[in-house]
Amino acid sequence: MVQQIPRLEIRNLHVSVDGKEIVKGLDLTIRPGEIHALMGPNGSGKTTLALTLMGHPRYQVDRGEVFFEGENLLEMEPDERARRGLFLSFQYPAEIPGVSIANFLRSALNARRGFLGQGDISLRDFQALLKEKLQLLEMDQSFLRRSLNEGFSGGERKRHEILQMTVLNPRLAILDETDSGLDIDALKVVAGGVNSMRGPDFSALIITHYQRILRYLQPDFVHVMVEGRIVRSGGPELAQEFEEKGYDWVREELAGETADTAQAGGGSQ
Amino acid sequence: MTENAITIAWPDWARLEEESEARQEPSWLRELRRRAFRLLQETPQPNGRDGDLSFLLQAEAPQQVAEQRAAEGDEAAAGAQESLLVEAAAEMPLALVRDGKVSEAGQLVPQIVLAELGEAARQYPDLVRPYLFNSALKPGQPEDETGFYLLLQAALWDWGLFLHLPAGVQAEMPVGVLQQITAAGRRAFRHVLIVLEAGAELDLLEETVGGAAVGAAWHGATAREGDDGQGNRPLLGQSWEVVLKEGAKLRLGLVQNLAAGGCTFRLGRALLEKDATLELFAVEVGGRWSRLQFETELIGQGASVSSFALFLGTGRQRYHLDLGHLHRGEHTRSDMTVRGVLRDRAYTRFRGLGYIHFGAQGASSFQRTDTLLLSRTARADVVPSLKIDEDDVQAGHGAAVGQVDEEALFYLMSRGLSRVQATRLIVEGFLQSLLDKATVPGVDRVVRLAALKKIESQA
Ligand SMILES: Nc1ncnc2c1ncn2[C@@H]1O[C@H](COP(=O)(O)OP(=O)(O)O)[C@@H](O)[C@H]1O
Ligand SMILES: [Mg+2]
Repeated sequence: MVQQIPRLEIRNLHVSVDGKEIVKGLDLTIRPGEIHALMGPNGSGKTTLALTLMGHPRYQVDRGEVFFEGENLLEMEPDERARRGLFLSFQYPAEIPGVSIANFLRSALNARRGFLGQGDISLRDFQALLKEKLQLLEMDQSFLRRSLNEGFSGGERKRHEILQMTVLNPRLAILDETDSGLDIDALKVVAGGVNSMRGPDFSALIITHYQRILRYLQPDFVHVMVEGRIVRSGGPELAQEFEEKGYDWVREELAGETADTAQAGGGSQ
Repeated sequence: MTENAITIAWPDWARLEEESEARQEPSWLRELRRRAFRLLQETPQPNGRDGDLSFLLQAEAPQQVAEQRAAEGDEAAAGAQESLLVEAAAEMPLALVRDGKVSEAGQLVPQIVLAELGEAARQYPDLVRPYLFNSALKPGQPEDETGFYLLLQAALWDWGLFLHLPAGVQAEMPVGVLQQITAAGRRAFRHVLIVLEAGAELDLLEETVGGAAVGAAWHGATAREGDDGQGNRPLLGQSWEVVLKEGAKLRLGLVQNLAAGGCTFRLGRALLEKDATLELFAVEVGGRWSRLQFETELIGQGASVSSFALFLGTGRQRYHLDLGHLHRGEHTRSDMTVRGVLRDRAYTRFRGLGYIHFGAQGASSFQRTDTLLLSRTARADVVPSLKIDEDDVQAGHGAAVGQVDEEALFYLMSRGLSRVQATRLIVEGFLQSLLDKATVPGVDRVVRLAALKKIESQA
């Protein structure tokens, strides 16, 4: 098999916020078409990792490297990362009063198309595209006239993030707890949105607390993150194991093997 | 005349009288002017500090040449300047008063009396005399800075408008007024008197343009922004006197869109009788230095007012805004919502007052002010306040001054928008969410156009 350029390659990443180290030496490789799940207890640094990958100014990379399709991701501004095809579904999306979703999404799509050397999308094509994606996600047309995340319920926010993902058609999507707080029907819809994108051009990192969503998404790899590091990696069966035993189990086990977990983790090979 | 650091170059009364006669003003009107003029000379002049513009009334003799050039520049700029109102009017029905031509617009709105104020004083003395500088605005009080400007207006107004609607009449179309000051009116004083009889309804949108200083570009950073106190800036005085009888309803948009060098002081006052409603929307985008005071007195039971103000400042623009809601009647309601965006070294001072007088039981008075600062050197000094002399009321105020929300910016950038695009979207959204609350027809278009131009001038 021809060696492909990884979609995302993280090497020994250390990240701190306000001087406190949160991500403490993380390695992860995601190849084209792969779906990875990242699980772990609250506070283990999953959101920190996601925001760092997207380029949030508050998160400081102290050490390590990140490559997105072979390019140094850490040198890029957040908007360039997005235009190149990186997408983050936020755990807590910002509210932006007065900015209509349709208006904003069209600008965002045109920015991405500009990078791809395509011209601006016509209003007609854009409307058709939106209509299709709204149907896919079982959302009402009236949604588009609302202001970005203003007064949205938790579920609406999550659907809205996935709507943006399907419209922008990224090459790598990071979903930060997009499943949290969704009822089972909403969860299926969201999973359907992600599955609709599956293919060699689409990779994803699904950050989640529960393995519930993984039943619908069927990840290729599952990683467990504890205290800023990936401590276990494996196949879908790993998710099941953690669901049954809980994270305390891995914490205890780790405490017993601290000596040889200095270089824990490792991606999928 | 009292001794003061500022020497005002007053016109003499003989000249004013001559002008009044030439305009064939009725004697009662001339007497009104004379009284105001006399009081003006007895009134201590403002100190020329803290937003006071009276220095612009100083002798101009040493600057004849500059004046001349200013006048020429004025004319060119006035011609070139885009009117937001005219642009917006292309997309909406509007009875537009421009170039001082009143009658055509008046014909578009059945039953309205819409006339130049001096002419109205001659033709409809019974309608005008009881109100003109005798209802909402009373020259001689208060005896402070505001009183000084009011006397100036009452004595010197050179053009005005009178709008009257009989009882029960709803104007079929909004009235638009383009107030333009040109070279000839390097000092202009304009007055507008609006009287709506019981149950009448009117929408009025007024824009003030013109008044460029020498070589000034419209709103541009290249505007001549030298120190004040030069005395060679155009000065515009404006005043509005509004009387709303029982159940009358007025939506009033006031857009200050002067050219870059213009200075203006503006004062308005509205009296609301029982169940009358006023929606005021003041927009400040132009000029160098602008003061706006607008006070609404809720006299009758159940009267209500919503005052909106929106300011966009760039370069060294200074806005001084004072809005007041005075509650006297029972169950009167007021809301004040103010938003602004400031860049460069722009400055805004805002004072909001909600005053619930004794006897105004069941009144409610709320204020909310939000200011976005787009640069470190922009400043806002915002003070909302409440005075409450009655127990059974609801009142509150809040104010925030801050930069663009970093999380919002990051969110938009994480979708591929550049920092500039993202900032623009946030600012537009910030303004839009205020416009969403307002209903004065045309104001949303005007503001969107203004915002667009202001933001484009960033380059
Ligand atoms: N902006 C921040 N400021 C200070 N501490 C933070 C910030 N963001 C995260 N942290 C801390 O970093 C740790 C990891 O948080 P987070 O990345 O949100 O974890 P997870 O997403 O796995 O729940 C937590 O201890 C949290 O308190
Ligand atoms: Mg998290």
